[in-house]
Amino acid sequence: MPTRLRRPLLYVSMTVAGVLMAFPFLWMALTSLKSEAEATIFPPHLLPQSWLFGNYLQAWQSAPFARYFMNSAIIAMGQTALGLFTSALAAYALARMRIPGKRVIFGILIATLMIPPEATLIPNYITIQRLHWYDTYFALIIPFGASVLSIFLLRQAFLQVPHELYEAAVLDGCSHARYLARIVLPLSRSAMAVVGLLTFIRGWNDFQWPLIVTSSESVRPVQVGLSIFQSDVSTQFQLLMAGTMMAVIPILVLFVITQRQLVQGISRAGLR
Amino acid sequence: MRPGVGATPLEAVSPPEPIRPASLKARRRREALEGYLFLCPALIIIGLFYVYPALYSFYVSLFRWEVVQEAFVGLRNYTHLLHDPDFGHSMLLSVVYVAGSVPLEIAIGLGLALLLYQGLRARAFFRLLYFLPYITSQVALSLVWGWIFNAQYGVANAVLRLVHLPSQGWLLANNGASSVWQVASGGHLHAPDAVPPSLALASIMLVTVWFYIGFHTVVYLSGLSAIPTEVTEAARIDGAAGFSLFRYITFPLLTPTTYFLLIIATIGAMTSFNIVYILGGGGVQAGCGGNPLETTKVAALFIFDRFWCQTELGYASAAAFVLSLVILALTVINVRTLGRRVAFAD
Amino acid sequence: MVRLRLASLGVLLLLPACGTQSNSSTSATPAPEEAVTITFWHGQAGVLGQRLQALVDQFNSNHKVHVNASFEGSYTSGQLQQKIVAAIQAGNPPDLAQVPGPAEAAQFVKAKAVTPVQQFVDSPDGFSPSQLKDFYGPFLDDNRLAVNGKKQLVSWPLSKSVSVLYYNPTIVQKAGISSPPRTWDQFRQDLLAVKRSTSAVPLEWTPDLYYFWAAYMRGNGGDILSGSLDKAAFNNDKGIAALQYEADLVLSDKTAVVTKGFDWQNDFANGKVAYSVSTSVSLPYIEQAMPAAGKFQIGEASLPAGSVKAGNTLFGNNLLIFNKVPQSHQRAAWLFMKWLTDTDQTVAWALASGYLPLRTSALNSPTYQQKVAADPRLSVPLAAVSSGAEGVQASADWNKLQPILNDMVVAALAGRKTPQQAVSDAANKVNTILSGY
Repeated sequence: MPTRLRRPLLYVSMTVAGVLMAFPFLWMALTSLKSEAEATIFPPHLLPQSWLFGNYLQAWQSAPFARYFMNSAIIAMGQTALGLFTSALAAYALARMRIPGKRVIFGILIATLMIPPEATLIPNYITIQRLHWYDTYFALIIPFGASVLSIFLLRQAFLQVPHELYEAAVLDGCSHARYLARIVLPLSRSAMAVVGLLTFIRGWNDFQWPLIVTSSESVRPVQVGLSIFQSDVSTQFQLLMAGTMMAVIPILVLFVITQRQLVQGISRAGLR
Repeated sequence: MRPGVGATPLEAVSPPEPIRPASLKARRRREALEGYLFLCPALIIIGLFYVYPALYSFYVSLFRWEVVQEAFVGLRNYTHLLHDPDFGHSMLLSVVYVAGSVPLEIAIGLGLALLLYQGLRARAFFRLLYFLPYITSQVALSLVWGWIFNAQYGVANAVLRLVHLPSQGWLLANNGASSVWQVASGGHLHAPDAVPPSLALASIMLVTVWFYIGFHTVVYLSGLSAIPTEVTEAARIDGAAGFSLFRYITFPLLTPTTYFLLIIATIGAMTSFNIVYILGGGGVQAGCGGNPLETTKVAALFIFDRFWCQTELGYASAAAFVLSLVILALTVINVRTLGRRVAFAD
Repeated sequence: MVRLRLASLGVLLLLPACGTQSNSSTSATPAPEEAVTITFWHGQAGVLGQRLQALVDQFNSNHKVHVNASFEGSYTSGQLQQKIVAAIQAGNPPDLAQVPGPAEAAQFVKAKAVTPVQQFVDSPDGFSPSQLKDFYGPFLDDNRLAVNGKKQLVSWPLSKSVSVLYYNPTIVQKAGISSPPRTWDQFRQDLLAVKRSTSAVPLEWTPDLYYFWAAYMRGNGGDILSGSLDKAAFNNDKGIAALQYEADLVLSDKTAVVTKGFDWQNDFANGKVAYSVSTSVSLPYIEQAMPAAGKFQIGEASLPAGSVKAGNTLFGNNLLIFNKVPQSHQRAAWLFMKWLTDTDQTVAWALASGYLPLRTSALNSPTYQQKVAADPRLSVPLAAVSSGAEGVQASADWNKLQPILNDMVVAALAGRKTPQQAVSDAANKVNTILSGY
């Protein structure tokens, strides 16, 4: 393909893809500014007749959203921190350490992936009650403090770190822990960022579990709080969209901040 | 281990020498112990919140258990499941759902990742756009899609009208998706309507793909950035470019990522709930779970319904267990057929 | 506990309990309230949840009993049910919870997790038979279940609504129809008239077994399950005729359009539809969805009658007390429930929520009468209730039967099965489930 055509073609593709991916989101944003009646009219209007920015204020005031946002932040950050800690350790152990029974452990981990969430809901609820964690941050953070997905992603990244580095480290008298902390982790920044971001997103958007293990508003996260706009007789679309837009912003910010890490090439300066 | 620190008496006394078997064994044991220590935090949490519930759930499935535990029935729930046409149908729909959405998600995700990796300008902005669906609440966006696909006033039908095609029932359409082609092409062929996916299920699959593309893109970007630049440089010097570069270098080196994503996405799609729950319901007013249409009743909805609406915990647990076995079977198939083809950089 | 027993032996105590002055005609004065804190799980989302909380706060401000009410997930989507079932598993149910209806109550009764309220109704804290008559009979019947062979009040009504027929007066007038249809045959004729004389959709609604297969069938004296709740009772000409009627409207007369969820509300609000069928609670939501330029006064009427009665269906939610909680909590929960359904409160809740007032004294209260004078439509649902509305039958297996019956209706309306086939298939499945597997 002539290079002259290549670039514009790529730009066009990116744009088309971008429009398709973002269109419903755009719709959501515009709907958040419409009146209730306008949100459901046919044929659908693209732009709001009057731009009701007040919807955002109304949504915000419908429930203690400031508290909800703080809760979501605590929960998501807690899960991310705990998750990275446990997953990095486990991933390293599975990648580089000699452990009898590694295959069995692998098998068990993969097996847990296949358990449908419905099956685990009630037993976990009972466990939470027994531990007296009901309606606390513990119930929201600890169960998600380890994830098989994260372990596997990190393990893959750790495997990319060449074994020669380890052999060199051992000669220098390095322990596994130190090797992990000083050498492997810094080289796997990209993967750690991905895992951290995915964990945070999952924790931020979770709805089912927080609904079941919380009662009071003091620990309620945003997603559960948003369900206030959906009742058994109707849905206040414009407010729900406004609320969802507000809930997305922190993740967008986080994503923008971690973008560099995500696609940074790994510096191999230490090797060759 | 540094000699002299925490070492056995043997090591503390002797100067550095060729390793003797005894201390090697000790070192191995220490490494194993350390390994278990490293694994402990994760394993405790996973054990408590995944393994234990799975075992408990299996226990529940051996009883007639509606709201509370009743009689022990052994495997009767399972035999009943195998004879339940509803369950069989749900499993079939799940498999169709997976087959239709996973390969597409991954392929498009890879395509977008490659696009973003080309070093074009404004790629950061587009990266954001592609990732938007994944980071937004599935509940809210599914409602928006329900809107778009609304048979009465949705954008989808408005678009169809623009190009002079007949309006479709979309999420209400139980007819086979293939019949839409016939109508669109003005042909008079009659595709068997009972062949899944129905248009409703196909629409849900489309939304699912749309949701998860961002995830695959991000993981692929991570995988792409892990490809040593020397390898691609060397290939370029040898004259490879464009498609052949992709085919012989990039894609093979990405096979671990692809392999990983295929497995994860398959498992995820088999247990996927939120999207199908919101879009697949046929009537919200009619109570619990929204009564999915015949053709959108995937296994996850079947299980949800049996758990919370019909409150048959024993039966539902058995269904969940069977679903896990099916997922296991699918994963094993994945591993067997693709595992051989995975290439590692080292 | 001791106090309660003493009171029922006729020992008079000095202080009457708060909020029960109007009901002191039982044989003994009830014991004073104890200062107890109880948990109340409800499933009212949105604005209704806030208004319910306002009532709870009002109760808390002048009672010794303190109620901790919390929204635990919508009660229609199964989320609240999820929490309650999980809590029962963990041995930790709330004191009091909202349940959708007799079917769920029956499930919990079967699980031996419920304290029927009958014992409280019969106690000094309760009602005399004449006082009980103040409540609309169908509402109480909706909460009666057989426990150990004896039919008694198990749950207590909170929010009640009834199926109604909505119509657009302008369109209907244009078609030459002067009043809402009294019979199903009349309804069919009216729909055809609308189709002939206007460009509007005659009937648009989201059909399920209630709207209006059950209504037609019950109106003609049929019912879904047998009295003993162990067999299907619709597998006869009454059940088939009901389904045939609907199918004819959609498939042969082509006067009816089927929608999903609440979609019909928007078309109706935009003035495109002549008739629709839904619950009495939908009214304000349809009005809200009306565009500013096209507002009109929606007409409301009872569903048409069959040969026996108009078979309207009751919806809404009820309240339930769990038995794994201390006796003092149970009594406190009852006192709260009783207060909540006292005349003033039921008027307040009815006006705030759009549900119906539960008692005749509420209907006759000046506040409510004022509202009725301003909007006569408010008396329509209650009239429908009085003419013999029923809720779902209290079978513990009802939630398993409901999807089968809904599928039956959908299959017939989509033309995939003849009504006869659909009914017979559904009856077979229903009987299989009812006989236990």
